[in-house]
Amino acid sequence: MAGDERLADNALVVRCGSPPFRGRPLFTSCENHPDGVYGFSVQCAAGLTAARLATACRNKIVGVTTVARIRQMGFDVVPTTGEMWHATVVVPKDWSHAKAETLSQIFESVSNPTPRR
Amino acid sequence: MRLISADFNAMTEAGHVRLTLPCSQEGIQRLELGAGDWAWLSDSELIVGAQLAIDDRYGLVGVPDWDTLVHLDDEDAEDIDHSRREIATLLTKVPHSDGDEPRVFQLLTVLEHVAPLRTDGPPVTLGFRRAVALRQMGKLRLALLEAEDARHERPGDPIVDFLYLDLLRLEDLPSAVAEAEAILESPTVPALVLSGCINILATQAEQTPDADFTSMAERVLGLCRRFDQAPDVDQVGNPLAALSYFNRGFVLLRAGQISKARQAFDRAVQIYPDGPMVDAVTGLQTYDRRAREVAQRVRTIAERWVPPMTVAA
Repeated sequence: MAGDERLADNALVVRCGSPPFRGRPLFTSCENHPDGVYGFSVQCAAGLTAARLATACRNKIVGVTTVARIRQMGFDVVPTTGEMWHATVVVPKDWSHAKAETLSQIFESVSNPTPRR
Repeated sequence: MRLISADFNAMTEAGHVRLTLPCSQEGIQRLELGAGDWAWLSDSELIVGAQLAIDDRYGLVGVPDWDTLVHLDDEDAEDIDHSRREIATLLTKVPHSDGDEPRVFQLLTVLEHVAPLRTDGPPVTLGFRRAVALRQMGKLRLALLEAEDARHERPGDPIVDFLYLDLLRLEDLPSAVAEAEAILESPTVPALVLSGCINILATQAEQTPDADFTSMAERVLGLCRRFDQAPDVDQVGNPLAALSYFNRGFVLLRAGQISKARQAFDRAVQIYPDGPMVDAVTGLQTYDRRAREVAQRVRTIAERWVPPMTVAA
């Protein structure tokens, strides 16, 4: 994995695109990351604001939540290799469409102040 | 449009888009794409042209050309009427300006996804006009991709065939020669397409070794005569008519027929006095490196050709 440290519960999680991500639903955005975890990609790093994390995104709208909320649903977020503050929301390989849909609902839609060009 | 669903969150350290996700794999398999191919990647909010490649760590990735990024969810998509009026103005603007082409590409892409346009008159495919815009932007591989799709939609359309042939000439000359030879087997080839074939074979003639040049020159000059006799030769327009004379002039110059070459160049300049390199062409006396450079510049006539198009808002 990109870092051994556990992400703090209060770390923000940003996923590029407008929630609930109808264009590429969470369920079909999951795969085995080369770091050895299964899940979907996000941007996450301790201490960074949503606006800062969103600079990794070209989308004008992003979804924002916290590591704590994802953990409360029984999943986890871990740093993984990739661009900028890439991390993976780890989910079970046998999770359902319904659980993916529920998870997508906890992302709040936020305007990206500085979309990447 | 060769479209692959992509997740722009799944980016590698190098800024490439991972395409091993299930949402991407479906499109890749359906379109039978692999490393080296070009396609459009989209998450339904963004769309961008990309070349597929293999990353040692991540497997299949898309290498985006971010110059071709279009937002499908911005104000252009929200105010469709305004976008339609703007594209109608741009597509019928006289004189045409290359500076407008990125905007033309952007609007056509948004409208195709949000509210497809109706078109009047040739050509009727928006993919074709997007190919023209991408060519003017210097995105030749993506332009070729769009032109290939336009050819499937409008088989036998001379305007589409001309654009496709010239893009192929610029990107893959051997394939362009093969395609031109296949087209020329037909006894009824439109003058516009003949013009494209002449340009391809004349480009090939420049690269032909001296030992094989005579037969190649005869082939080009024969095609030029066929072009002159085509029933629709009057419809190709002055720039492309002049280009056929420029091409025969360069072939004659290399063949050592200086007087005939100069006659061809003079005729070209007479037809299209505003063409590129006019002074340089008329001063050519020998076929040398300078002449080849001038020929290359003159052939930008084909690369700059933009067909007329009107749009019903």
